[in-house]
Amino acid sequence: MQPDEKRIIERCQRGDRAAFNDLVLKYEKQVYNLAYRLTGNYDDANDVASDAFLRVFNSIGKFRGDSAFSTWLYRIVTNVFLDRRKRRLTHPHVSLEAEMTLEEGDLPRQIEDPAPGPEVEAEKRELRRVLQAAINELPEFQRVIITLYHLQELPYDEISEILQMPLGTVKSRLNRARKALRERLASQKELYGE
Amino acid sequence: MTCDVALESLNDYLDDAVAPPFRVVLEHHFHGCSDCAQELALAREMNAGLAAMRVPQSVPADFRARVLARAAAEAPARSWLHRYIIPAQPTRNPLLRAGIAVAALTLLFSRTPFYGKLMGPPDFVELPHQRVASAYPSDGRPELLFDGTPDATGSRGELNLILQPSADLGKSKLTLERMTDGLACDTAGIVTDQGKVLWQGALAADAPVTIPLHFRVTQPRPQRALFLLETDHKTYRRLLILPSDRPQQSPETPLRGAWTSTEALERIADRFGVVVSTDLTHQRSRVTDLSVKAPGRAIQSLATERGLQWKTSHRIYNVYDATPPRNLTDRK
Repeated sequence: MQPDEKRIIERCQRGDRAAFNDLVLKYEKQVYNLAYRLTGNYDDANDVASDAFLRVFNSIGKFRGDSAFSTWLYRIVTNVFLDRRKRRLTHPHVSLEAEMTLEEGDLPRQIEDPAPGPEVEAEKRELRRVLQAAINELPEFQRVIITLYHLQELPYDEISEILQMPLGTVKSRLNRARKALRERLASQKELYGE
Repeated sequence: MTCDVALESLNDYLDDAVAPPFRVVLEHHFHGCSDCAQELALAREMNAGLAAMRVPQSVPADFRARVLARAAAEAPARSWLHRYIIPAQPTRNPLLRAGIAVAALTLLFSRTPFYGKLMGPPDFVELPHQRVASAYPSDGRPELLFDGTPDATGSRGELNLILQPSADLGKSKLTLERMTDGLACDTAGIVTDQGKVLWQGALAADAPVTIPLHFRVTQPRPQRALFLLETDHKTYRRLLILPSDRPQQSPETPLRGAWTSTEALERIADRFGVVVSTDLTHQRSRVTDLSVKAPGRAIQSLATERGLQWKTSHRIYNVYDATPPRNLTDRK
């Protein structure tokens, strides 16, 4: 752990709210990006990321430094995401669809592309759109494991720490998730006539 | 080798996690089995697609403020003693322990005058934001203001766009709708058919949202960017005119021609190297014949002549229709 990170965490544990401000500032990008990748849209990413920070605020005293702080933080973000799913199962919710609905017009969910341009880009965008639709169909846990491995590019051992499951289980669950995603991707491609 | 074994090892093969001899056997199988080869191609495509999805998203400008506000709202529910006096992790430092004991004693004497000074809860750090008086206070129309230190006369410019409503507007979305060729906006956002969505969220009265904008100017001529703010019921447009990268400043600059107000402002932006933002609805070409020395005076003359309002926010000249139209959704 870096010395300044350690200091900020210790100050947060003593209830110093200015330190919590520094903590959010330091990690908001990582947390927000993970939340966005898990949920696939801005609205839910906002909710998951801010709920996760609130959980950090309330339980930072429980962080003992056994794992890296980022691992602990990622565990909280994934737990918040998975808990929302449990809540949704008990209180069914219409969200998680492929489009964010605003009062005026619909905004198709797309991934940010800072340099739109040639046809190659359009093809890539199309693949990402189809892939995002396929990911949205996956059960939440598979979505989590795909996100951590493929989008966050985390190694198996860190994923096993985040999800608190043995390495072998992570590997087999990841394999199952990838297979499920391939099947959904194939059916999505069929659906869009590719 | 059977297809089952080959497919079982597909991910390890793609992760480069199979031993070389087994790799050869696998490749031989993929070569000879069209079903497995197809599955391999799909897996490769999937991995490439997933890699392309690793584009970092920018955090909404007001994200931290909202997190801190929620944490502040939650804090009183927690035990005073635990929040401010007893650290969550018991300390081994004897000095700190003594400090904690003193703090606990102080709490016992919390009615003494020292209490407030010693034990007052630490406050949140206030996040600074610029507040500018509303130009349209009566109809709840949001201000789309630009501030910061515009450095748009060079090849790069950074500006803050402030959304400041005077009434709750609910779910809102800000899109960068169009830009002239030669202008690029590096601010992250979701690219859609309508433009680039820079921000979305709820807009509440007196809770301004600041969105930092990063521009790149690649052609030496005045550049324009059109912003669209959609709320639950209405649509608002705002045009930002950035000057060329070679402002022509002469002691006395004549501005002559039959131009709309926006075109005239574009020329002022270009001649004087200033940034102008406009919110003009009714545009009609009119003869302009001004001879002016400073951008403020040029805009003042133009505004007087055409019944417009204007004010500056930092070095940006904001020009409005004096009377905003009733039905703002018609603004195209």
